[in-house]
Amino acid sequence: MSLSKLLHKKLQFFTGKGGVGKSTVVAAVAMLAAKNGLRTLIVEIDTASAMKRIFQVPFVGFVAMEVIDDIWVINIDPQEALAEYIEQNIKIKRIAKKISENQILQYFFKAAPAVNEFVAINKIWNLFNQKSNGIQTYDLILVDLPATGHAISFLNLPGSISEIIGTGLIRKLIGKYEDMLSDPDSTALNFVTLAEQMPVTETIELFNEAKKRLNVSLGWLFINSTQADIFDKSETELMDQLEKMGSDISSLNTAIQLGKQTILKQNQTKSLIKRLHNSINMEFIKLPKVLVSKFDVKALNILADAIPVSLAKETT
Amino acid sequence: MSFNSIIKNKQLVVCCGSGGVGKTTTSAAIALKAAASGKKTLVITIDPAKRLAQSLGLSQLDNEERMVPREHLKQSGLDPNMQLYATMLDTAASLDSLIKRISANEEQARQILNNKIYRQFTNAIAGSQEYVAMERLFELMNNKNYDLIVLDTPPTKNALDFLNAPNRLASFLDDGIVKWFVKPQSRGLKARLFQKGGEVVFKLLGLLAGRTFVQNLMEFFQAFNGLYGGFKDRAEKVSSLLRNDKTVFVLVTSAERNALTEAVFFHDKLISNGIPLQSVIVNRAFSPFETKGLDLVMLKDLLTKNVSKISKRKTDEIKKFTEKLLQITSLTDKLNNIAFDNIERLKKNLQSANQILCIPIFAEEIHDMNGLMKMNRYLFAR
Repeated sequence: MSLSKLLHKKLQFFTGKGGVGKSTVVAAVAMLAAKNGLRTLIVEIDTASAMKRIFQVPFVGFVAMEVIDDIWVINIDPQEALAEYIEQNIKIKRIAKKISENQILQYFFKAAPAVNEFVAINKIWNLFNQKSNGIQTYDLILVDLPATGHAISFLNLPGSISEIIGTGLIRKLIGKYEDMLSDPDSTALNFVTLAEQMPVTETIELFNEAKKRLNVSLGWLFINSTQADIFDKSETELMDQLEKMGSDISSLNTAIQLGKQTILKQNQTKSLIKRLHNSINMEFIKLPKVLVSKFDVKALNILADAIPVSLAKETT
Repeated sequence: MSFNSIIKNKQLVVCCGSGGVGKTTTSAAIALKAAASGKKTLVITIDPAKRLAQSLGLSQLDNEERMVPREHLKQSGLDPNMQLYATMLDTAASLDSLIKRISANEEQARQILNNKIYRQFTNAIAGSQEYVAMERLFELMNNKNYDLIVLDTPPTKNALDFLNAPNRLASFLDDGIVKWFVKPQSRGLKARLFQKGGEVVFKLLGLLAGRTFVQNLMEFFQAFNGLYGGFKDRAEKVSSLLRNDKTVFVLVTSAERNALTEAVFFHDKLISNGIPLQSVIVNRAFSPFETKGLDLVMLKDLLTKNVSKISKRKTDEIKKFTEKLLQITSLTDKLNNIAFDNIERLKKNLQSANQILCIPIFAEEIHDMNGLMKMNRYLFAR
């Protein structure tokens, strides 16, 4: 039930503090969706593409490319998005050409506030509504947003723009974008975090900020790389006893210290997740720590498979 | 260059790197050590990092330069007389105060601050956050209130945007484009509108964005009229400040593969911007417990023997416990080896010879003065 809910929302944005594995989580959700037969598109916005690395492809560009069965990837380049926007909205070719060729305008677009974000949202709207042979091209669109601070201003953009714009073409478009973003049936904003102090604090702040300022429904909170409960209470006591006993053999001490460290980490994880639960009213998805030297498709599958497991646990 | 000599000889330490690698913590640790060595030190952070504020004993971090309270230093067993200050960048507030400072008069400042475009997009104006970081830095350096400033750079989408931020903002407000949008001395806006060429641009822009927007935009540029010189002048000064020999760049990364790939990218970008890098810090590099040459078979025997000695548990329980510990130990060894390989690769990929400093994984996240001092034992090891 909850898995189908997760995969049901067509447009999902992901954000989180740098270094929490946001792109990896996006890729894992895509894997899960693809396994469930959904044609899934991952959208990156003008970054050094993380998907290029994750899916081991030579290039991710403005044209969607299928990287694995049923997973497409696109990286929205602002220049190309702007060109597409102009071409699409200025029906008279001659004028469109004039705009594209006018140096002052080009210069202005490059530096002006929010133009890049605006044309990126336009591109997302296009992808959201794109059809091939009469049916929706994509069943699921996952947008890998830039880190925390930028995400809110990105999703707030239509609102901010409508404050400074009167009538005209953009006004009409903004209405469409706002409808898309604010529809709780089709759109959600997800967070990715780690069970560590700073990311948790920032996620709580982000949640409050999003509640206050955004007209986008909040979806799921992914807690990445969580420490599993390895030692139970009696084993914890045993570890303490072992430590007290002491030893002059270094390998034994190392093992005990590592054991103690694991216990510390698992307690920390538990208390931080509790803190998240107390402050954030969203569905949680806990993902395990996947320790590999190279994060490849196999590792991605481990994460993808953990999603329904976690969802099932959370609901019971 | 060692960190001991960096804090002794430099006036500005710029910590850069991708997000989530412990940049803020590293900056704070360096600043703490500098202050402890007698320098009046300021650390500038970007994130509203509450934990950092707490760890420094500050109730809040904001645009003001706040001194770390003596009481807090004393509690952590540190010299209460050291002069350690911290401040956080508040982009909007800083940009506002900059506008007020460089405006010709109050009226001009008021016009800009009230402009709808300015109000909505203070944070979105291309590179404004990075620009303000640089601007604030310049101001603080200029005031010469501190012996050393440690700057924690923003986690930018495009790595090292902040290096070019002053130029980018200046070019947004470029004389050419500003002049184009605002009235020349002798002519009014309307005259401009009906001038050949001008008409086209305004019409096109109006078509795209509506007339209200064009009106707002013209007012925006009009308000900025004459400020370009000020921005450009600043941009050049900031640029030379960053390349000054009293400035040092430190690259912070983690031992994780992706972070290291980005670190190499950062490094190359710095070099190509004519900025020499002095040091690379790899956070969370290894487990602090030595696992090299571990004999797992021997360890298993030892563990089983010792556990049986102190516990009356069933054999299979003891076995389970021992197995878990062994697994963790061998996993740590494996991870240490991976990190070691990754760091070796980093060394090979860096064009310039740098010292690479590895900080181990601490069991607890660094959240107080003690944590910072623990980190400093590695940063400032002789």
